[in-house]
Amino acid sequence: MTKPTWTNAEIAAFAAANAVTWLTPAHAERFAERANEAAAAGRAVPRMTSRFVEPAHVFQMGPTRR
Amino acid sequence: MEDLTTLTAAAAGRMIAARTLSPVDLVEAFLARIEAVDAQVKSYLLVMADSARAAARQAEQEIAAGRWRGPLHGIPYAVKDNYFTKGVRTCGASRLLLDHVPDFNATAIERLTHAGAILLGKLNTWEYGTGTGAVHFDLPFEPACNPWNLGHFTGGSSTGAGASVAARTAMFALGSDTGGSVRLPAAACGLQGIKPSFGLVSRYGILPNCWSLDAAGPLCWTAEDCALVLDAIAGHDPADPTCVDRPPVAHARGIGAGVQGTVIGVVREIDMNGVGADPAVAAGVSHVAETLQSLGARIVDVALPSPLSAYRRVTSLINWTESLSIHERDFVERGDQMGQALRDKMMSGFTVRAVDYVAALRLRRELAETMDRLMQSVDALLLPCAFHTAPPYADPAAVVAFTGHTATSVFNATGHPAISLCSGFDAAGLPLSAQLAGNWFDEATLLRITHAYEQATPWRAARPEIPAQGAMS
Repeated sequence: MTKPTWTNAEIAAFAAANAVTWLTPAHAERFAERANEAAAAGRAVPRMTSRFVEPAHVFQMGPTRR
Repeated sequence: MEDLTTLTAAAAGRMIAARTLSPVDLVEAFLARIEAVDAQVKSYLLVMADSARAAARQAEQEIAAGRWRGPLHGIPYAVKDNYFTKGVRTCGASRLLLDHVPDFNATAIERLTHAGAILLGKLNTWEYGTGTGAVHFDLPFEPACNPWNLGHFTGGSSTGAGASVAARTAMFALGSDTGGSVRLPAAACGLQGIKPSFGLVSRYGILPNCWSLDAAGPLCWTAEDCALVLDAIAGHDPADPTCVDRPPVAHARGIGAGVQGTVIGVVREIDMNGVGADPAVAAGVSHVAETLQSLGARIVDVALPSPLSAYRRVTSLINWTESLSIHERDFVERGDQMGQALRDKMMSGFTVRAVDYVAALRLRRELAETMDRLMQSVDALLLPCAFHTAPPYADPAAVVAFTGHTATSVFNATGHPAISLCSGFDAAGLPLSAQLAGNWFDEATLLRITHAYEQATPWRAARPEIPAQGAMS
């Protein structure tokens, strides 16, 4: 699998497409660094061999809160 | 005359119950201490002097009338500024929330008020009570300073909570811990700080950081004080859907029962991506083990089921993703007004793939189960907390490393309770730390072990001296 790598221009375009309009070039550079770090972390998580290992959900029914 | 700010909460509580100490005098002593040193320590973002004085007078009247509420009645404390306070600004040290005044109190504050404790104010924190480990000096408030050396880092994110209890500007403090944010300030500042089991203490009314990992906990001078605070704040709260409904435990009762026969697994070989604990920190952990063994504990060597990096990777992915989900609107609309640390964290969450987040949640379950199998073979685990002592702010890489080279996020991932305890001081006089982790909802054992260690060592007798203002280099 090819390593996904965000460029500054790609992350700026992705951010703009998701309503983030305040990025400066310095922000975009930082954003790309963080995005690449997140992608690497995600790739490094070993996948479960069994389909029956469920996520550790925290959801529980409760009253509606503010 | 004795300096009342040097008392522990437990000792002060006993004196108040015996009517040999006035809550009014105690609160005044802390307000005077804040006035004297907090311009240097910067533990507070907001001091609530008027309401604290009114509460102290009320406590005095109630006790005089025979309506003593318990061991925290009249005890002054403070909270990290991500705890909502009704009618009082809660800004999380952020310029985005400078006008934020909640209309309700966090459950933990409500419970402490019910116990008669007196809120002195809101404490310094990293922005929104979270971050990346870096300090960029770009928030509307200056960072808190370590009372053991004012040029040094306090640990984060509950920066003011650590600084205040060490500097004696609060008798105890409440912080929040997503990856170590109670235990690391405790470690840096020479305190005892406990992250309870996930679900023991309500997080309702604490600015959320990461639903799956957040825990609220106290930072105190002693284990006994931690126990008293936990007694007050633990318990089911229907407003927090993760808060469990269990019979209450009296954590302070039996705290002096000793460690005879207690089985403690020691993790001696541990590293974060190749970086191990400093020699002084490792020696401190060994000292804890030897001391407990001399008191009758049985020490066995054990190893963590997975490398520290596995727990860190899982908690990072979960934390980044959930944190962005919580604060997405703030980031999208005003991310440029955030400090760099919070903005960086939001950026990390922005591109996490859904499948990676779920993979992290699935691995988390496995990590928790394997850790629990180890935990069930002992009464507690002993291991390092922070691998380094508090670094100077002037060394930004060391500041980041203080948060990065730790063994704290393990127990956020697994949900087990864990306490950071002071294990002595290094050659520069900075506090060393160790960490005890226990079985789910068995905080009492951790507090009992920590108390036994405190009683056998001189570390609780040493308080930091804060130089008079103007004497700093």
